[in-house]
Amino acid sequence: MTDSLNTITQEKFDQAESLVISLLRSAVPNLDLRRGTVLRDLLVRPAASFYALEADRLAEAQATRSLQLMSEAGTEPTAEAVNAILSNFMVDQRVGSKATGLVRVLVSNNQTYTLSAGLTLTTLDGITFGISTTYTAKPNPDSGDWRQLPVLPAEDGVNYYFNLPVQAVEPGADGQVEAGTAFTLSTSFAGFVSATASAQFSGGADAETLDELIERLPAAISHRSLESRASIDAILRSADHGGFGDVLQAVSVVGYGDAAQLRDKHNAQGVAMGGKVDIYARSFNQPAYVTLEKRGTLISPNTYSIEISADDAPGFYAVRAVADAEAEISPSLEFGALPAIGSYDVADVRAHTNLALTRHDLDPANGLIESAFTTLQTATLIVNDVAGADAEYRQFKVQLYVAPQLADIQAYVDDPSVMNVKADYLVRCPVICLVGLRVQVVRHPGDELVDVEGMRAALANYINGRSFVAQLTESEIVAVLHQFDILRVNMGPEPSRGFQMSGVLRDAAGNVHQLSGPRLDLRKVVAPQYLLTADTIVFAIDPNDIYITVSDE
Amino acid sequence: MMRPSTVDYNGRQVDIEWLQSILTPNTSAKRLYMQFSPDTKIVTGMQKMAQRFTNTFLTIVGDVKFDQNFGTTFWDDLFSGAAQNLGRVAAAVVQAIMFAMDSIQEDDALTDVYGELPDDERLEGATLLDYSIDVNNGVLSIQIELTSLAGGSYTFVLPVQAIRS
Repeated sequence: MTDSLNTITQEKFDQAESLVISLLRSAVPNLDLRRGTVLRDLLVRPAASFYALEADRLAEAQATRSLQLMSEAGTEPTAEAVNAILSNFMVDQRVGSKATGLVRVLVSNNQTYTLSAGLTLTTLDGITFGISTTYTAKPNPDSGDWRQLPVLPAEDGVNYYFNLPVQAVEPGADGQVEAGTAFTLSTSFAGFVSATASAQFSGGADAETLDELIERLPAAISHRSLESRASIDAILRSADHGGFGDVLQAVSVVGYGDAAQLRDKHNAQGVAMGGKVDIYARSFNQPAYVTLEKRGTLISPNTYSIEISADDAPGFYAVRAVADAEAEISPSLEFGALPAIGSYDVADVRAHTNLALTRHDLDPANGLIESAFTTLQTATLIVNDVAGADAEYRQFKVQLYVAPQLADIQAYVDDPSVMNVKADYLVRCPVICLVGLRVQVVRHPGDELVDVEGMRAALANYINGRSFVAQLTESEIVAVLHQFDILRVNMGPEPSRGFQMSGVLRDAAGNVHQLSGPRLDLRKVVAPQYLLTADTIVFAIDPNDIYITVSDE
Repeated sequence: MMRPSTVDYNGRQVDIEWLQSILTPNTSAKRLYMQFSPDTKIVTGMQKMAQRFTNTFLTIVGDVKFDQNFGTTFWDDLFSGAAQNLGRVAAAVVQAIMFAMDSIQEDDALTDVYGELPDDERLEGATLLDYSIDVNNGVLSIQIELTSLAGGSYTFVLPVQAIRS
């Protein structure tokens, strides 16, 4: 903090002096405060100097009273200033962590090598690692001493090697160097040949920036119990609580008053009574699916039945594909439709289990809907048109869209030490509007290279970030494409129009809805009775379902 | 010399008296010296004007932190050897008088900041009347006459003591 008059600028002093003169004149108007007077020299100037100093100190203190002001100041504040504010909320700024890994040190002789503490190893990019203890690499190390490393014959049959544990000097994700990354040593030694990363390093994380902290803080300081939308989101993500922060991309909490909340209307009047919460947890970026090998039972000629238990794929959303066990399944969907290309025709019949045993309140009369996409859901897949099939049993490969760790999240909110005793929390996989995209971009005359893969990645990233919103529009997609150096997107009239967007989603009753056109508007398919509202649906796209063609004008 | 008049000093702006004066024998001008008296008094009127002028005249320009333009070059010229001859002394004094007058008149005009100033406290002119060097004692004596807008005048002698090495 400012503690010297030497830091006061002329401008600040002038402002302070004007104020002191004004204040004195208003209080004691018969004092002559002009320059050259004794009062000016002995009273006004010292008072103005100290006033300016205190004004500076106050400004410094005010600038550190909020994280937002620190961020707007444009200079990185001290950790002390940030943590002083955070201590009021028992939150810590994430300081990052140092990556660690093993360096494969290749040496020419099978002998003892000593690597002293303080030795540093640096990559070509300038990332430095070090060792904090002295290691001895020898052909026959003592098994009980972790500081003795075995020297082993290398694959080339000529040299030898040992694996040296190192840690990055500075925290940061860039310390997670790839396997094979070369290092130079700060101090070489006789017999040294080379040093490379034995495998990808891990554990490196960047320190949290002030902007990231400001974004995280509302969730971090929300009340630490499952009582509000913000606190539910915060608790699930918090490393000190749910710990699902790395997997949860978006969370939608459907509770009292929300159209898609059906479970709090279990009364004769069908009136919402509260006390029930459905948590739609998007724990994936692009659509995630599991591949199971399941045995099908022949139920009629060319038709098999496959049972999906509640534990096979908890809360699965939809069937992506069913194929023979040894068959390859296409990475792409049929544009605007399920299942994936190459899949058998499948009828997906949902059911539920353990409704009578669970503590969660679900209406058995509406069990199919109310258990949809939860850990209580089961299914029977009827696989049709299996050619040449007459065996009683047949192995199939089944791909199901899931929300990873759904069962873990449900288990967490069911934990007696966590759960809200006033409410019933059920975790669901979000309804996924699976998007397909075909675009034609026109490049600038003379341009040869267009970053198609970059566009695909950017589009996938954008669409997979659209969770629990009412629509996805072509203008959003076009805006993403124009981040790349293209002339235009072919938005001309049919049939030459170079933009097609489709979406397919399945509601809790099993009805499949298809959307297409310049706007995928979820309001067209809203059906709260089947858990279809903007609060329950996310947009998602697999990069394989983005088709980009490049043309000239 | 002050013209005989009756002045009402009620409601005047005041300063703290810092410039003491003694009548030297056989002169009509007061000899000034800077000192706070044991019983501190306030000063107004032409005496305050003379005090302001003297303070400004004797302040080395650039010496005041945050007011680098306040003061005159009088001392700088003396230190650079102006006292070697009376001609240079006169030039230095006249230039310093100009600096001091500019500074004082600038503030006198700022009535919205400092308040109204009666004519007998507003400096109209400052004239170097006489000057002499007592080489043996290292004293430079400067006689100055200040005139106010009201027509009054105030003549005084500033003794400037040299530092003997």
